[in-house]
Amino acid sequence: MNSGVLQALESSFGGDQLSASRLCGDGPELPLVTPNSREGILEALSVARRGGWSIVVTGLGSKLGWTRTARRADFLLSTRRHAGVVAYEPGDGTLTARAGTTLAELASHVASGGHGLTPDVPRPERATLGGVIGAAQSGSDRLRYGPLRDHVLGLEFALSDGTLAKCGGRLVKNVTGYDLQRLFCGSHGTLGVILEASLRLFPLPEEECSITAVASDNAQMLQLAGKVLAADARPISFSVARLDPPHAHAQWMFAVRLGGRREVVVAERAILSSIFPGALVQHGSEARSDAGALRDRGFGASDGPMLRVEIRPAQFAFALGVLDEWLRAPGASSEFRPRVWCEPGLGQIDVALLPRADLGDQAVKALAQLRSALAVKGGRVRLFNGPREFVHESHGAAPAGAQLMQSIRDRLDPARVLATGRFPEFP
Amino acid sequence: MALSGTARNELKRLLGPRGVVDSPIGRLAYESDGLALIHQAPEIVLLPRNTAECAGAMSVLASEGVPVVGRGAGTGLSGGATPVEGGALIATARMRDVLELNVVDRYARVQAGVVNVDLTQMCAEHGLFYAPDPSSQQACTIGGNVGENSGGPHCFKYGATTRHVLGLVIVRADGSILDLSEPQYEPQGYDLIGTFVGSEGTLGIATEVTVRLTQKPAAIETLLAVFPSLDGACDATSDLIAARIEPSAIEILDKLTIEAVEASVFRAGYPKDAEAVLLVEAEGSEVEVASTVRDVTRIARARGAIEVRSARSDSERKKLWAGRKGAFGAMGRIAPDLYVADVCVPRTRLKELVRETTRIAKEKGLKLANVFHAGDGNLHPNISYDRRNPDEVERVLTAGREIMALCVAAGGSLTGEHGVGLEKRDEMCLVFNDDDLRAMTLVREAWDPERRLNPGKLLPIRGCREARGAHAPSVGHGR
Ligand SMILES: Cc1cc2nc3c(=O)[nH]c(=O)nc-3n(C[C@H](O)[C@H](O)[C@H](O)COP(=O)(O)OP(=O)(O)OC[C@H]3O[C@@H](n4cnc5c(N)ncnc54)[C@H](O)[C@@H]3O)c2cc1C
Repeated sequence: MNSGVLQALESSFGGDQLSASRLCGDGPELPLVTPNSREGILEALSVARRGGWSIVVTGLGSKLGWTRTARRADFLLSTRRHAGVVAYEPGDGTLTARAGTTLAELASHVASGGHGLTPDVPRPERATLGGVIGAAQSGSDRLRYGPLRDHVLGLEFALSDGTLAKCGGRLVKNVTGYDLQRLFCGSHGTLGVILEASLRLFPLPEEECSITAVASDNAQMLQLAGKVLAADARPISFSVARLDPPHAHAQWMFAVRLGGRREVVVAERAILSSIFPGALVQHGSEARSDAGALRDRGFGASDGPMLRVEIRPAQFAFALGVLDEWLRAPGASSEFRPRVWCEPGLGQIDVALLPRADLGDQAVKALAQLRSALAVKGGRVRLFNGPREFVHESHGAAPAGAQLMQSIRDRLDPARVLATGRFPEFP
Repeated sequence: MALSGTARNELKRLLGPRGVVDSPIGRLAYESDGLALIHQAPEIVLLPRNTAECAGAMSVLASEGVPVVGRGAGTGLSGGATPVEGGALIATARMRDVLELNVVDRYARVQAGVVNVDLTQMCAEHGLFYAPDPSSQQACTIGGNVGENSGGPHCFKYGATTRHVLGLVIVRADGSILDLSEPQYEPQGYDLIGTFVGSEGTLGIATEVTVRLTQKPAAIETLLAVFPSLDGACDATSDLIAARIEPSAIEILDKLTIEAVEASVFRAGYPKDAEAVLLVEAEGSEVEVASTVRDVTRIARARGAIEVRSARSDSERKKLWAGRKGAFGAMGRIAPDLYVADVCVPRTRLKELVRETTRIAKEKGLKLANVFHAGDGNLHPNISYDRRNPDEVERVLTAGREIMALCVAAGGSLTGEHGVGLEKRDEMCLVFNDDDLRAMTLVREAWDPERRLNPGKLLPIRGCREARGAHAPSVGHGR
């Protein structure tokens, strides 16, 4: 640990706000500062500026492996203790909270007024509001509610030069000023520190149920998935997991989560039961934990390496075909042993990879092949929590707009206080 | 800064004779948008046919250092497309091609000048539609919708334009082309598209837009709830929101609006003796629609609706909506001019703020009608006036400013869908401080370092602290 950094932090923060952590499993230990106020966060930024140091902004640190590791990091700044609900307006369906509040706390707070929020993430007690926005995290409930960025109504943030600024507001509809909320969604702490956010809320379902069923092979799975998506129903989520190891007559397991007004759920359940005769139906909180349990069989709840294929939803079958073929090819099969988890309605396939420290050139090459095969229909591949070097290689060529992204970043953080190199898109 | 002869010739060579308008009379047609109070003829009007032509023209303008304003159909109500003195106007009127319709993946790639309603008509036979439906949809362009992040009645359910833009091709201030046309469900890197939508032509000119197409619902039902008071209609809306009922649109029309609509070609059969009507639509499966309709009816009656009726046929449904969408036009016919305010408020405070806006207008001897997206808390107090009467114009503008200040003080905002433009530029200081605006300015400068695109719009020219010191001059005094 850099003793100069530690000293500087110690002179501003008490012991209860200072500890140590790592950016990634094999990285060096770094000082971690967890200020419990807006002023404390500004002070941490000022310490970094004065020392010419570079920091990585985090919540509870669960998504640090989602992008490349920072090129340089002298200490970590966490907003986890800048927490608490600022305003919940049950009559207006909006919520404003500080960045460090966990999604679990927020969900239980707004449930009192009959509201719920998106995204439904695997471990909501480990996800802070700031972190979820910074990483633009989606849950499987995206099928019903759409991506998080559609529901962030406003933000308060700190720029690295100490400027405290806000954008948007607390209203469900508003076009006053630039939509910086969207710019910050998915910026991974590279533009500023999110301090507070306002969200649009949803009605908590009056009734919930989950339907679990199996399919014997890819063909049957795709056929059934097509039926579910074409049905007159609006599931909260619809996921399919490949059983590993496969059962005698079942390779895939489905989980459809329904929720909403009671009579609507009853009608939708009847429709789905006709698609999956003999399916297991669970109600209420059991339904939620059922769908959750299936998700947790996948990568969802692990921090292990994961590959995500994203494609236009209608091209889901194409992507699965390409992926399966790729997984069988020698280059990939020697390096990966996958568990596959799909969201057919979102055009998303996640492959949980076996954690291996030594993914080599072979794997990098194999990944490049997968990427170009998917690109034919606009598909993409991203790697999460991968071995360090691998993540750097895995994102492919810089997208259009990389230069502009860089220049937005340079304007908002000219001194490069906030971690650089976290995006593969630009240096 | 004036455009040189060489540059003019170069532009004519690039765009062809029909692509350049520089005669005094020709230019006059573009001197204002829907905010007719402000006008300024542009130095030159350019009408590119595609991205390459637009980029070529933009390069010429960049090398001349000439400011550039983008324009779609010019239906904007905040002066976003008002030309700037000595500047060029790039209009998308000749960019009306649909480039790709993909019904499998449910998206369309269109040129920015395509008219909103044409998009929906084009994909109707495939059971699809384009969800954002501004009342001006018969005229406004997709590029203009992107510029303003426009809304519409059904955005209550489907969200405003930004949720439906999957890709863009943008010509930047220096003439370079940023091609983000491949439909994106998750941005790669920063969300440039999300930042661009609603930027009112200050970050670039969109030449192509990739939009999401939505599947038509299985069932639709339209309800008209008739109220003996405007308060009742507002309260019913607040109750619907608080009860977390989810129809696809909740609109209110008051008595003056109903009278205007019923006296016009948009006549919809709204009851003329009503003080207000609530127009509600429910969409989804048969069961969902039926249950929503039941709840809406119950809540409306509890708030004193004297009648709640349902459109009996598709044509009656269309008529009810045509009346709503034609309301501004209908009012425009009974008064020489119409000032359309566009504020947003928390939905818990609809009644109180609608009352207050009415009071403000009354105090100033002005006639105010309400027709608005109640479900989203998006008020449109409409004030009729005669622009030839300078005293009345002044009173209208003062009322507009007071309404904005009132709503901001109540936790609301300056604009829900029409944008800041020129009209509300200085009021930005009611909502944001210099630091907030600086963050926005930094982003703007990353896109357009010289601030040559739509200068003087959206962001206050002077700092708020300074402006507060010497009360900001009001816009709105044309010639
Ligand atoms: C009767 C009436 C009803 C209306 N109802 C609604 C409504 O329900 N909801 C709503 O939201 N609005 C409504 N409006 C306002 C207006 O129609 C919308 O703002 C519309 O999106 C403007 O589209 P336009 O093509 O006319 O754009 P313009 O007015 O020409 O331009 C609007 C803004 O976008 C910029 N711009 C235009 N084209 C481009 C481009 N290609 N690239 C980048 N920037 C561009 C301009 O510079 C300007 O700042 C209404 C207006 C009228 C007159």
